[in-house]
Amino acid sequence: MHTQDKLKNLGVELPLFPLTSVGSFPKPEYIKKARARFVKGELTRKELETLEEKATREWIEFQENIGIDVLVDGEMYRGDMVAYFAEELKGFSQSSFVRSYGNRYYRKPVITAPVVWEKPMTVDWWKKAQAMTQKPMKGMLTGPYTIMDWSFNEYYKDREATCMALAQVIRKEVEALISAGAKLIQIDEPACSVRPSELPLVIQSMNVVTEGLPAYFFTHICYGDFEKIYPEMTEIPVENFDLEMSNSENDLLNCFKKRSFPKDLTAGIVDVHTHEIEAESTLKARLEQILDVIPARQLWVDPDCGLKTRTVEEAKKKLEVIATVVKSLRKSYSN
Amino acid sequence: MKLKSANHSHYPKIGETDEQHKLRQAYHLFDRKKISTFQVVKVQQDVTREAIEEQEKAHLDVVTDGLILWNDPISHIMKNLEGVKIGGLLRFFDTNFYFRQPEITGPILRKSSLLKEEAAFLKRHTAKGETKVVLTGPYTLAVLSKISTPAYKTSREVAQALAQVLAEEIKDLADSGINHIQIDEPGFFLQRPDWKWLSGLFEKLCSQKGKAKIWLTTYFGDVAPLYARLQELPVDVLGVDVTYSPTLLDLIRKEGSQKDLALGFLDGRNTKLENLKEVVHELKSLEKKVAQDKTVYVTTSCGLEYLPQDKAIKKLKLLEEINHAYSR
Ligand SMILES: [Zn+2]
Repeated sequence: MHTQDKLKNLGVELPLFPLTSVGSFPKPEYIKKARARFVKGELTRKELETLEEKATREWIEFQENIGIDVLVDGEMYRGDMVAYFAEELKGFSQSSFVRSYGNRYYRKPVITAPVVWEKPMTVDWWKKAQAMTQKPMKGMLTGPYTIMDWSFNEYYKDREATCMALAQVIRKEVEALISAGAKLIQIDEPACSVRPSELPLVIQSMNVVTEGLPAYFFTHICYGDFEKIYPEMTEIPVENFDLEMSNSENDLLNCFKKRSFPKDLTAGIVDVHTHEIEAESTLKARLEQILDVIPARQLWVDPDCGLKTRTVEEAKKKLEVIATVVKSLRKSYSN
Repeated sequence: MKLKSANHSHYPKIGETDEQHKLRQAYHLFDRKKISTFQVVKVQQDVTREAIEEQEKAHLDVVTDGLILWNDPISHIMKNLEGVKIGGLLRFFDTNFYFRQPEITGPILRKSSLLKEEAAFLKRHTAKGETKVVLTGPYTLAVLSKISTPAYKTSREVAQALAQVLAEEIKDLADSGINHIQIDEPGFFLQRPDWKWLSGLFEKLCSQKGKAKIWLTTYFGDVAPLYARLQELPVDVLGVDVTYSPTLLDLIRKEGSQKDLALGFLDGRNTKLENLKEVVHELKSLEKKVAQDKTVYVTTSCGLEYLPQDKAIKKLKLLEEINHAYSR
């Protein structure tokens, strides 16, 4: 089935060049403070949640105001994209700090028992967020391969067994999201290009997650060595690949020139690691370059990656400039 | 064969408690200009001393300084060389750890010794063990650098220039009385070297090693296909990552070893603790094939910084237990 037909069957109608986001938005100052107070025991979970809902509502209103088509909740209630699921699933125990670079550390989870899905992990938030808007809200999950690669494993035989067990668990979450009404679901696999020899495992595990399910699936992959996994990576069974095109634009376009991109593409067109707000002309030129190799009806647009590392102001400005450029591009296409 | 236990290279800089967080905290305060360089150095030294103490508590025969001052294995060596600029972050092999990529901007020269002070500190604070200093090898450094100077056309030429300055460094380290100097070359798995050329490179590198033993260590890849070639290189100890090489032990049982070996039996990338009996059994099975006058060092597959500190300590303890159980 063609990807656009899948959307039509799901009853989702979208304009040309649908606008969306990768997932995370920066947390406003009051959420950062509230989280710190919650950790110290000065704030109850309920009080924290009320503030997280307020921040979520603010981000949803902002997305609606600037004309984003497929919304995200902004992940005001999440920290790390793997640790969030590790804390919710049975079978993980939290580990201590591991350094990623310079003076930056993260907590790497440890699998110490069979991973078990006991209850929905993201459905309550998805429902809350969807109730705040008429526009479609994306369900947001981390993929089994990335959870496996970013965790220690003390239980399963090897990486494959770990990944396939996690795939079963993530499928249950996808089913729960679909039952709740989600039609667009993104499953992030940023670790996917690190070991090209394991790409078949990424594909196999994603197949367990998505096979036969009535939803339009995205996967987000970033900062990878795409040359090593293209075009094989397009066999990952999802309809839409959300890729950073501003950071590794030339590499990717060269890949697509050699072998045309067979699925829908959400092109990230602003860098999430710079303070500087891109000029409209820069983004327009970037989109035109992409449209030289990707048919218009296959193209969606968003930022390179999650915006949580930027300030609220920077994130909003980057989203606004994307929206402005895409709207004017739509006009020139309808003429 | 004789068995000894050795720390691989780096050691986690922070742990779980506030006290164990002091280095992270010190860098944080230093960035905000709230403490002086002198105060940061003091904390670095305390943490280095603690890393050495943990290894001595586990009665390791070969001790490092835990590479506590290193930000990453590439920029730490390259940042003090002339003709090199340090650039943006890149993923370090298939780990979730990042290094800063060097850019070669002109002729590479060593202005002063790179690791002399770290080595002197290690010597001063090691009570019993033999001392080992780690250097990332010229091949790996060259493969991971960007060249933007007409001074060198290929990464081979960069590797040759680096071998020259690292040979000078090795001489200084050997002269200072360091027992072991380990050259890390995981880069062999990124791009296969030309072995004949590499042999010349290592001859130059080791030409002034004095009494020090030179280790050549690879990790993050299956070393079995390279094993015969590595045996021919002019180094004293071959360090290999057993966790990536399903057939390596069979190969050693078949081919033996003309050199001392450092076998990375314990997985430095995963918290799971290996079975003591199984490791000892494997070691015993090598006994007849490794010459009597050769030493086998039991160690981890790579440095310990990919593990949380409490788990790293458990791996060190396990090395001690293996050594014990083997000798009994
Ligand atoms: Zn991303």
